[in-house]
Order: sequence, then C-alpha cells, then structure tokens
Amino acid sequence: MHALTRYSYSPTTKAFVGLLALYGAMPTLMAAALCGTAHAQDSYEEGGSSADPEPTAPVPAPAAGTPAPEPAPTRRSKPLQVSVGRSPTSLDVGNEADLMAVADEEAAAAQLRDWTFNFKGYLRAGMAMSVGPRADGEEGSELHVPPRIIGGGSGRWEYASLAQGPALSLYINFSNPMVSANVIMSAGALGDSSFDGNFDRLSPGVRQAYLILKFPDAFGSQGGVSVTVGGFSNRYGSAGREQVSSGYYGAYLFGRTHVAGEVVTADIDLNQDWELVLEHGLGAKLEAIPFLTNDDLAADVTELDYFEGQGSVPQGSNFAHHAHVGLLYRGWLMLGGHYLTSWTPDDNSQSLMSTRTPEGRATVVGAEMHIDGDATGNAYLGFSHIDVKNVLPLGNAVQLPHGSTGRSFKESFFGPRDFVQGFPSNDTGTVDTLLFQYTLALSQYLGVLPFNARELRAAIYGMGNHAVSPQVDPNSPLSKDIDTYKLKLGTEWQLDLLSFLTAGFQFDYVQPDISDPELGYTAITPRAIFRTTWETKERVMLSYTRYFLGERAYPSSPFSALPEADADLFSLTAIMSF
Amino acid sequence: MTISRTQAFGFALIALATSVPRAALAQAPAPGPTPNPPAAPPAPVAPPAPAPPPAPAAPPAAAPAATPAPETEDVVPTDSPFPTVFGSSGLLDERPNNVVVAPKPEPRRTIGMLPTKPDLGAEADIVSTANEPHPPALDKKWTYVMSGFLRAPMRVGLGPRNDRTPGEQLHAPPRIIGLNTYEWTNAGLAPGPEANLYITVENMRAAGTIIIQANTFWDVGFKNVESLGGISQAYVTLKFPGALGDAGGLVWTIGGFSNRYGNAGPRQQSSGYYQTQLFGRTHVLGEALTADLVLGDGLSLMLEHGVGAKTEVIPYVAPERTPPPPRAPWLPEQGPVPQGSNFVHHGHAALGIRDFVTVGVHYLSSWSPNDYWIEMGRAETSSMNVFGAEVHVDDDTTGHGYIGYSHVSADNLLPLADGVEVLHSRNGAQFTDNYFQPIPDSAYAASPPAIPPIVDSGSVDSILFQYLFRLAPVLDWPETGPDLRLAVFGMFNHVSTDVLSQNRLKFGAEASIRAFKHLSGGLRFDNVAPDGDNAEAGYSAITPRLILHSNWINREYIMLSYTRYFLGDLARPSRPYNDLLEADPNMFILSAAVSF
Repeated sequence: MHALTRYSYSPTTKAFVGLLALYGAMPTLMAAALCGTAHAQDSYEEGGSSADPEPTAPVPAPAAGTPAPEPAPTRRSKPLQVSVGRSPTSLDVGNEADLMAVADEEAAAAQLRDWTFNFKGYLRAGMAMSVGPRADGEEGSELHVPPRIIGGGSGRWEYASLAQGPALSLYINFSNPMVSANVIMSAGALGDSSFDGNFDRLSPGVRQAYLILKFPDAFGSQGGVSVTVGGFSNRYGSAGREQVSSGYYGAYLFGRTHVAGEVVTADIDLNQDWELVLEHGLGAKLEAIPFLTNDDLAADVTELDYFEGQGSVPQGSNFAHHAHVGLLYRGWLMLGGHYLTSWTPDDNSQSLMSTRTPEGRATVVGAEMHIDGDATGNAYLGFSHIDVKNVLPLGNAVQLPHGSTGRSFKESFFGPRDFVQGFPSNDTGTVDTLLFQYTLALSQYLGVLPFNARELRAAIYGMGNHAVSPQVDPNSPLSKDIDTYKLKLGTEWQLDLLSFLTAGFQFDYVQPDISDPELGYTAITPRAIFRTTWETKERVMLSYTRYFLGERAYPSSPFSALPEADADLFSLTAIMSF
Repeated sequence: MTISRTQAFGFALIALATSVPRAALAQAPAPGPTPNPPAAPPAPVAPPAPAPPPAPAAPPAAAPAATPAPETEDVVPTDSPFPTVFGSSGLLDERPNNVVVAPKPEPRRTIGMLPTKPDLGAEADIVSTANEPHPPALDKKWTYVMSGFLRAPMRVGLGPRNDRTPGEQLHAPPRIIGLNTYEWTNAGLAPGPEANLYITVENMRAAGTIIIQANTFWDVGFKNVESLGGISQAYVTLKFPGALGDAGGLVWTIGGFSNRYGNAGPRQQSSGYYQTQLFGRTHVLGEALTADLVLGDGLSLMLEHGVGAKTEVIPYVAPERTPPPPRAPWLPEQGPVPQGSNFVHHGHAALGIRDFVTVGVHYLSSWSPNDYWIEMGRAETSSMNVFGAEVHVDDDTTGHGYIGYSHVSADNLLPLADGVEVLHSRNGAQFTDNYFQPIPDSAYAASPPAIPPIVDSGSVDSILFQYLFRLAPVLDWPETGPDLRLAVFGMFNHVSTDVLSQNRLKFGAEASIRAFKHLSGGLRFDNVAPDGDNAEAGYSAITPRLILHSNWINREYIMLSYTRYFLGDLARPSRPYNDLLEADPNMFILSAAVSF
C-alpha cells in the first residue's frame, strides 16, 4: 500500500484503487493507520492538515544512469468528506436560512471573530429525610425519604425553604457585543439517585433557548435597547439581595413567565444618579398539556406523579402580556412597578356546541422597593394584587406566587383539591400579598463578635396574604365564601466561626389561616454550614428541623392523603455555582 | 521547609499508599520511605537525599555538595526523569537552587471509582491505553469543539372558537393544517422548537461526537416525554485521509448516528423548504464507510456504504392486557401492530464536478423479520427500499439548484420501525398513514370492530426540486450589502397501491429583499394539493415576513411572519386537533434562530 500512496495515477486508476481499498484492503489499512505506520498518517502526526498541504520541494533531476527517484508524495488538499449526504453534526438551519443567511461560512467566520463561548452552572444536591409516624399505623416512628413534611415544595403556600429539592442548571452562552445565544438545561432530580422514569423532575433536554439582540447605543450616550426573543423565563418580584435569589419563600411576588415570545427593554440614563428601565413582553406557551379523559385512555396515566399533571380540567392555549418600569438610584435603590396578565380563551374546553366558554385570566399589578448597601443591609418590600377569574384552565404562562398553574394557585389560596368532593370549587377571586425581607451583616456595628467570629448575619422575612373568593352560587354545596388572611414570618442568624464553618439558626412561623391555628406550624432549624474558605462558591449544609405542627397541618403532595406530617427533618445539602 | 521525622514518616506512608497502583502500572520501583527518583541509584547513605544520576558533573543544582540534603520528602530535583510518585504534573514553585516543591497530593476521594471516571468496559482493559500512567502522545492533539443550533418560535393561530360560537380566538400551538413535520401537508411554514448541541473531541485520526437534541423547551411548554430529548446520537469517526494516497481517503463512522440523504438546500446545508429527505434519514446504530476520491480534472467521487440496526424498538403491549398499555399524545406510540427488529443497509455514490455540480445515486433498504408478530402462522417480512438520483448545482452566480427523483417500494410496512425515515414519515406506520391509507383509531382498540386489513404495501415515486437565486453575486454587489433573493421549490408524488393511484403536488416560491443592515423582508407563496385535482383537500398560503439580524452577515435572525391560509373544505388541522372540523386560517410566528 505504501507504493500505491506514493505515485500519481490516472483518474481511472485512482477510482480502481479506491474501490480496491474500500472493499479489499480495509483491514490492512486500518491496522496500519492505528499503528501509526502509514506514510500519510505519519506526516499528519507531524502536524500537517488535510486542509493545509505542505509545500512540495523541487525534485532535482536524476543523474544519468541512475533510476529516477520516486516523486515526493503529495497530499490531498481538499477536506475529507464524511458522507455522501449530510453528516449527523451538520446543522439544518431551516429553509429560512437558505434564502436570507450567508452560504459562505468562511465569510461569516471572518466577520464573527468577536463571538465568545461561556459555560456556567449551579447545583444543589441534598439528602433530606424525615422521621415520623409509621405508614402501617403501628406505634413508633420511621425514616421517610422523601420527607413527609408540610410545605415540601415551593408550589404550596406552606413552603418556607426548609427542605429544598435537588436542582441543577447549566447555562450555555454564545455571544458577541450585539448578539447573545443562550441554551439552559435544568433538572429537578438526579436520575442516578432518584429513578430514571421521573419525567416530571428529571427533565432531560433543553429548558430554555433564546436570542438577545443588543443595541447599547440606541439612545446615544443616554442608553440602549435589548430585544429578547425565544423561549425564556423572566422573573419579577425577587426578594433576595439585589434580586439574586427569590428569597426565603422561593416565590416571585409578581410572577415568572414561562412563554415563547419577546421582551423589549429600554435602559435610559435620566441623569448621573437616576436610571430608568422600561420593559414590555408578549408570549405564548409552546403547547398546553393535552387533556385526556378516561374514555381516551387505555390506561390512566394522567395522575402518575412521574409525569406532568394535566389538571382537573383541560388547559387552554395560554398567553402572557407584561410590562414593567424600574427606577434605579446610584445602584443601591430600585423602585419597580409591574403588570402581568396571563389568559386563555379556554379553547380546549370540552363544552363543545354549548354555551360560550369564558376565558380564564390572572392579572397581577404591584410595586416593590429594593435597598442594597453594605451599611444599610439588603431590604426588600413589595406589594402585589392578583385578580384571577376561571383560573383552572390556566397554564403556567405566568407562574404566580406559590401557584405555578391556575390549579395550583387555586389550591394554595382558594382551598385545596379534594379528589372525592371537589370541595371547594372556587376558582375566581383576589389575593393581596405583602412580602418583605431584610438581611444585615452586623460585625460593622458590633465590633468584636462572640467566639472571635468573623461575621454575624441576621435576616428577617415575612409574607402576608389576603385571599378573597366569594361564593358564586349560594345554593351550591361545592362553592364557599373564602376570606382568608395568611401569614408567615421567620428569622435566621448565622455566625461565621471559622473559615470553613458557619453556625446558623432559623425560626419560622407559618399560618395558612390565622383564624385556624391548627392548619399551621412553627419550626426551628439549627444548622452547620461548611465551606473551604471564607469567600467561595460552594457550601455544604447540615441541618435539623423540628416542626411544631397544628392538628391539621398535613403533609404536602404526594403524601397529602396522610393524616399526619413528620415532625423531624434532617438534611445534608451541597450547593455550588460555577 | 522543615518537618519532623514523624511527619516525614506519615507523609511517606501516604505516598506509598497512593503510589502503588500507578507505580505498578509504570513498572517503576516502588517508592521507599523517601521519594527518590526511580531512575536514580540507591542513595549511599541512610538520610534521604534526592541523589542525582551518578555523573559527578551533574548540574550544580542537583549536586549533593551544593545543595544541602532537604529534610522534606516533597522536594525533588527538576531533572528527575520521572519525578515522584505523584506524577509530573503540578511541579510548580521553582526554587533558586533548581529544585521544585511537589505540591501536596490531592487527597484521594474514594477507594473505588470516581463518578466522573468512565467505565470503559472489559474490552478496554485489554486494548485501551486509557489506564496507562502516561497519556499517549496522540492525546496532545485532541481538541474539544462544541457547536449548536437553536430555533425558538412563538406560534399562534387565529381561528374558529372551540365552542362553536361565533367569532375567533387565539390558539397556541396553532391549529393549522401541516403543522407537524411528519405529515405530507407540511410545507415548512411553522417550524417547531429545536435545540441541538454538538460536542466533539477529535484529533487528526479520530473523533468522538455526542449530540444532544430537544424538540421542546419544557419551561415554556410542558414536559412532553416524546419531545424532551436528551442525548440522541453518539459515535466515533475514524479518519484515514491518506489511506488512498493522493487519490483520496477513507472515513469510517461507527456508533449511533443519523445520516441524511436527499437534502434540497444549497450545498446540502439544509433539508430545504419541505424539511424532509428525498431518499431517507437513517436512525440506526451501526457503521458507514465513506471513500472520498479525487479523479482529476475537477472530478471527485464519493462512495458510501452503511449497515445498521435499531438499538431497540418500542415494546408492544396488547391492548387487551390488564392493565392496558398507556396511550397519550406525549408518550411514544407503539403502533397498531408490534414493531419488529429493524435493520438498514444503504449504499451511495456521488460524482462531483468542479465544486459546481454533484450527481448522486442512492439506495437504502430498511427491513424487519417481523419477529414480534403475535398471530399464528409465518410472519411476513416487512421492508422498504428506496432508489433514486439527484443533482445539485451550487454556484454563486448561477444559483443553487436541486432536483431529485426517488422510488420507494414498501411491503408490509406496519411492523417497520424508523430505521429509515423518508418523505415526511418517521416509520412504517406513519408512511402508511401518510401515503397508503389513514390508520383509523379503531386499529388501536382492545376489541377492534371488524375492519378490512390496512393497506400497508405499495410504492411512492417522488420528484423534489428547489432553486435559489441571488442577485448580488450576479451584479457583483458586495457581500455585505443589499441583495435580492428568489426561490422556487416543489414536490410531486405518485402513490400506487392495489387500491389507490394518486398524484400529489406541492410547490411554492419566495422572494426576499435584504435592503438594510439589520432588516430583511420577504413574501412566500405555497400551494399544497394532497389529492390530485381535489382542491378541497389542500390549501394555498401567502406569508409575508420580516427578518431582523444584527449585521449583513450573521448567524442569527429574528423572524416575524404572518401566514394567511386559503383552505379547502376538507383541509383539517393537524394532530392533536385533527378531530376538529376547521383549521385556523391565520398564523403568526415570532421566531429566533441562531447557529453557533
């Protein structure tokens, strides 16, 4: 084969050689190639490239009487094709691109040298287990995983971040100064330590994908505009420091969008101190989960906890429209006003050929204030008014506080789901919410701290709600007149004892109906937080929570049918951002 | 740096414990209480000293007389041929006396295998170099590449109210005809959400590729099990660019991968306006061997051959079973009959003429022994064979033209899985439903009523064409400037079964003007006739659109379009709304797309 590679042949001969090599000499070639003995491959080993042929040195004329030396081998200059068709990794960018985008990748590459690639992520992986009543009804306690506690997930009002579930997010960003492409992958369970078929939480694939066009000089030196288009999720009403987290209750006071669509944001300097941010968005759910009745199904898969739930009534097409204004002062004060509305024509309603189907809608208006400074601490105060009508067919185009979909919002504020009686049936009403949070580092005021600790941090936080849902039909036994005040408060203290150790203590008071204390609970949570050094990206938390439960403080889904929640919770959680 | 003897002894024990496997693999002398360089002779005296090689004229820094014997065990000479049991990495902190301090070893994290350690399988224990202490030399030239593509559309239809009362309402997703790619009536007017990430690690001779794909973004949709995606392909490519000398090279692709044949887009950069392959797309685990030959005089020849099999097909659960099998639009559909093991064999040849014309011929065969057949009697083999030819003409001045012809012959298609996807049909049942006979819902019932057997054999002859023309190259306008672009495209099919002879035709045209740096505009027209001259079964549509981009030349665009459908009386919406009597006649799309 060496000889074959060193001479040039006529096209016919080349074709014959190619066929011969293809069907007859493949094993020999492979062995030679893998052993690194083939001449051509040796030259590649020296750093050559199929696209960059080495210059061929001129061959001196042979002396008389001596055989002509073999000509120097030449290397093929064209790139090697992988398939007659399209290789698996070739992008199918769609017919739109055929007509409007460039066909010449080299030309594009020359103009796109400013593109950069970024990859970052966040993970929270925790073991949480509880101790509580035996499932068999016998006396004594047993361990439960997942914990059978009240307020187990942020989708319920009773949630107080005492047992946060696993979470993993990976962010892939490709951008230049004018354009940013983003892909977000995320999971709410870890398949290896959970189970593989948990499609509701494992969530393989892509969570969000979108494009941002940036026009930083659209208003000259006064500011610019950005346009975000694609499938993405914006969040409004985050109580955490400088909006870096949703705060102690894991809820967005005004809402979180889950739609494909657009957002246009204008960022304008009013003067040296004040900055105005205006934002407007419009979007629609890519698709609503299909609704299956028992007639449609060979087997009932609709209420399996490892699939996304379809709800009690069909979800309709779901749209979102939102607008926001923010006023920023010198980077430490932010005042915001928000409006979001999510609606559905209820177009999957099964009441065909009957009366006109009413739309479902949820509208949120509100305002907030952020103060973020080293001396002042980080303070948040916000108020929202939520008005919902016929909320059950509503998807999660706008995720409301403690209510991802219309159904879960109804269950949090207008009475929980009752499989047997469907009681209460209220799905229309209003919810007024006041949310606050304040965190402060105290060493600057206290000086020397106990145990020579480096820092003492304190947090107080709370949420109050007033839910009103009038009884529509006084004669209906399923409808109820709801006028409920809800209140939850808490505080946490953390003492940085050593570079690798922080001790903490959290207290929570959660009352879903202040007129009925037996529905709520209080909890105390001592914890130890480990890390590698003072300032770092990771932490490991070991905590124990003791619940003091009301008589009717029931566990969260999927254990909501149990008569008693667990009162002791242990958790070991690792958290890191990178 | 000084440490006590106790500390030194402890450190030595740790070093011994952590070094054994690697030392054994390297066949180097096991370290003693002090980490002498393995190649050095034993120290003549008891105190541990990093003795240099015996040459007395060794570099001064290594000379014992010039350098006091360090008391620590983590100091080694820089000229050590294989320094310390901790390997050569991480030798930082260079000192003036030409010795470096080995950083403290990172503690072992587990006695067993780390989570990130790949389990290469028993075969790798024998043949692989992965466990050797030194990386093979070729490792130095490996590169990692990640690329991707995303398209995120907001698609909204405006049409009749669901409750049949007067008026119209918005629908998302739109209830249009031809919404899904796997329907013949699809004309690519509403491309769905899609994200692909391509991760490749490669050197000059080999490449490993993993493709992550999703067809929904669950945060803004729902957790549609069928579309969530994940790792869709993974394979290894061996490259022998000089295997045939200056005549060309070979490429061997092995693994789970999907090749596509019959792409109408310019230079095969896309599947064209109808988002389907004329000859087929493989979905198997197997191999494809490609020879890329230079014939001279501007001619090149490519030959390709592949064999593969489905990794697995969806199991079949009889509808009569208790409990019955789950069926939902967001779960994979098992089909009306069990799918059998599915195998694919394909061969291709393409002749290239001066990078201008490519003439290709194709053969693909997908078949199943129908080995999950549950009725008594000998099971009929299921097969689908595709033959065809195509011509690509790609030139900036003459334009980008494509025309291809394919003949699909199908026999007993229902048990055939998706080893080959072709012409808007992912598997045998879909091809049957698309071309031969719609499969009634009763075919999935536990106790189906007496229905005649579904016709799942026949043939489909197809012609696909597309032509794109750009004015700027002809007029010698700059690449970064205004342009006018025109496209015409179409597909004709003739369906033939024992009971059906049907012609189908869809065609369209588009004009696009790139007038500004950030903005393009266009108008598209489509006509789709799925049943010969029966105009009531089809539709036509016009689509004005605006396209926003960041520069003349770009990798991204934001598209805003409106489509007005002119529907025949029998034009029904696509699944899952096919029970409705009327489709939406209006559609709005706001879409973002980028390749990176």
